[in-house]
Amino acid sequence: MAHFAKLDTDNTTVLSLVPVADANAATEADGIAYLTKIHGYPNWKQYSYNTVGNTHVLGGTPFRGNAASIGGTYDAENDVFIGRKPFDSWTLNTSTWLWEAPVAEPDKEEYDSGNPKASQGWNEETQSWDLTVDE
Amino acid sequence: MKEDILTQKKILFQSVDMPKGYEIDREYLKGAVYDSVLLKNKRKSPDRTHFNHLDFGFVYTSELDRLFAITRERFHVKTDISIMMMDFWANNFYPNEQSPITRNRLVYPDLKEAPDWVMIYALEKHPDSSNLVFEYEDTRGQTVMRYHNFKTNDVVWFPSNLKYRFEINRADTPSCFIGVTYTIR
Repeated sequence: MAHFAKLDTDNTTVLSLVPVADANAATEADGIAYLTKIHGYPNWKQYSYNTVGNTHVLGGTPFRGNAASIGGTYDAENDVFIGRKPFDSWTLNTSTWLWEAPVAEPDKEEYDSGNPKASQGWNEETQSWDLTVDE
Repeated sequence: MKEDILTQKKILFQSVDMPKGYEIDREYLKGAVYDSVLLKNKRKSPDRTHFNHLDFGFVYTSELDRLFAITRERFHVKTDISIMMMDFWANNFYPNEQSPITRNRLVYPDLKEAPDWVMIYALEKHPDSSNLVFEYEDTRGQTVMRYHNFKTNDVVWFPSNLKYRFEINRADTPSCFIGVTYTIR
């Protein structure tokens, strides 16, 4: 199965994600031609479902930085997909193409003593990671 | 000061620009609409007092599908809301015609079946003619009217509980709109 992202007219914003059978997408150009015919829309880019942080999670070759996500962007200059910026203070790591908080996320095990009901989230107001424990 | 938004009445609008060579074929859509309006008179409601009386059903085509797909996807990216289409129709206003009543899309007897959002697409609209007029209550409960001037090939999104109407068509030729209702998934 090949995966394609539909890009807006600006060729940057990801509008939707579409899987295509390998038979119809032997190459990226074939897949784009197929989708253009079906959808009557030409702006598509192939992405790898298993690429995250410029690493292939199954040990393969990473492709275009990250899996595409709706509302994220395609950076044509670097040929990578980038997710939505989660907070204003976060910056883009140009090696992994992931957004990073100004303060590194604490190791969860250490931070919450392994409590499975605990989760941590970024607090933009205090610029820190907050621990939340569900009762 | 912190804020906690309880509810918002907002209007979203955008031009339906498409990649070159893949523009929405409005003449094709107009053909489908006028076939319904002029030849088959496919009104949604025969009841003259019902606001649906102004609405015409027309055939769903691949061109319409392209229009709905791109507008729905852009709405999703902008709002993070996933929506599903409920109904679509066409409105046609001859010169000097307007929608006579303030209307909204809620089905009060059955709110479960009511839509959440409405989209209006200007298939053919003349400048300063057939504009949308929205009516809502301000913080003192007074009725406020907001005029929204838009143009051909624009879409306007608004919550389905917002009352609206079309202004008079001051042009010499008909104005034509496509409306769609959506429910939140």
